[in-house]
Amino acid sequence: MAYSEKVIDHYENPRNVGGFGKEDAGVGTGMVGAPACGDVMRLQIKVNEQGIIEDAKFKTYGCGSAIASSSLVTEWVKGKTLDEAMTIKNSQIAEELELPPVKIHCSVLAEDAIKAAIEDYRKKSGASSSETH
Amino acid sequence: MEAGAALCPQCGALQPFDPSLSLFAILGLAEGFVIDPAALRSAALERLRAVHPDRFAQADGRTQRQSLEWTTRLNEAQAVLGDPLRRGDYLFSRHFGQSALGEEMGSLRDPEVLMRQMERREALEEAAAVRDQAALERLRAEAHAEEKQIEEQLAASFTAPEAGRIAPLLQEWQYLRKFLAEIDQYEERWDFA
Repeated sequence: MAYSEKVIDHYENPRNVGGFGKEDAGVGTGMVGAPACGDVMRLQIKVNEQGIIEDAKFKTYGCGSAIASSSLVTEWVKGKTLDEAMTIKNSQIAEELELPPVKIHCSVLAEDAIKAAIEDYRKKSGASSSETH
Repeated sequence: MEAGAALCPQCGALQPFDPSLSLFAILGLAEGFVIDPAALRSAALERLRAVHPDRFAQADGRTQRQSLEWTTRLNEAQAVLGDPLRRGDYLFSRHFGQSALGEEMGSLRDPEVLMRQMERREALEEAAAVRDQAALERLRAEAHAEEKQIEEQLAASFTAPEAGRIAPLLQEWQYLRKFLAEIDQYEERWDFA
């Protein structure tokens, strides 16, 4: 299958690979998977006191599209508020990476991962960052 | 006439294939997770022989097509039911209306299952980085042992099927299959390097 140049770029030079301590303050962790493809994706965000995502890391085992999708999302969420990051749609990821229809589910996985990371952060910080404003 | 029989017991004529037959009925087996592999093999062989296209080489076009359809369906049933993971997922879809492994289930969130896959893949990556063949063998043996365990758990779970209990077992098994394929790929790459 032919990958787009953008997928290959993210695959060969993945941005922000790695992780933060799960229990560290300000860290939210999202783990999602797609058993059919054997994909497993961990996406973590580090949120500062102003509620801005100041850093993001990922670790993904899966195909090139899954790696590229998660790599791209870590780039996109940096500097965003949690509410802004929540609005990222898989269709935007798929469009940016020019994913073919059979690989759309990889972008869905990345959207689910960032949402799960935000939910985890909000749960850990007592939901104080979003529901009270 | 026995459900799923390809030939009329009176006249021996090939019957049209009935698409509503379950994979178990196609082979004349009782529906359930636990199957005797020898019984599956002999049922498939016997039925494949009865519908074999060579036997209908002189028959009309319609009968020839039916013979081919029966052959295809029997082979398919044997392939699915012969693999305990595919058999389990097929039974899951019979009970709950969809595969436990498809995209329609949405992405998997079970942190325990996911954590195990992450750790497994990390261990494989580390072993592969230093071409540690013994470690690879160890990981493979562990994965096979886990497959066995899951098969036993599935056999117990299918006696009173609950989607929430069976789906994670099938999903973990599917991950194990991908993991084992990954090990094979590393080894193949080394063989030719």
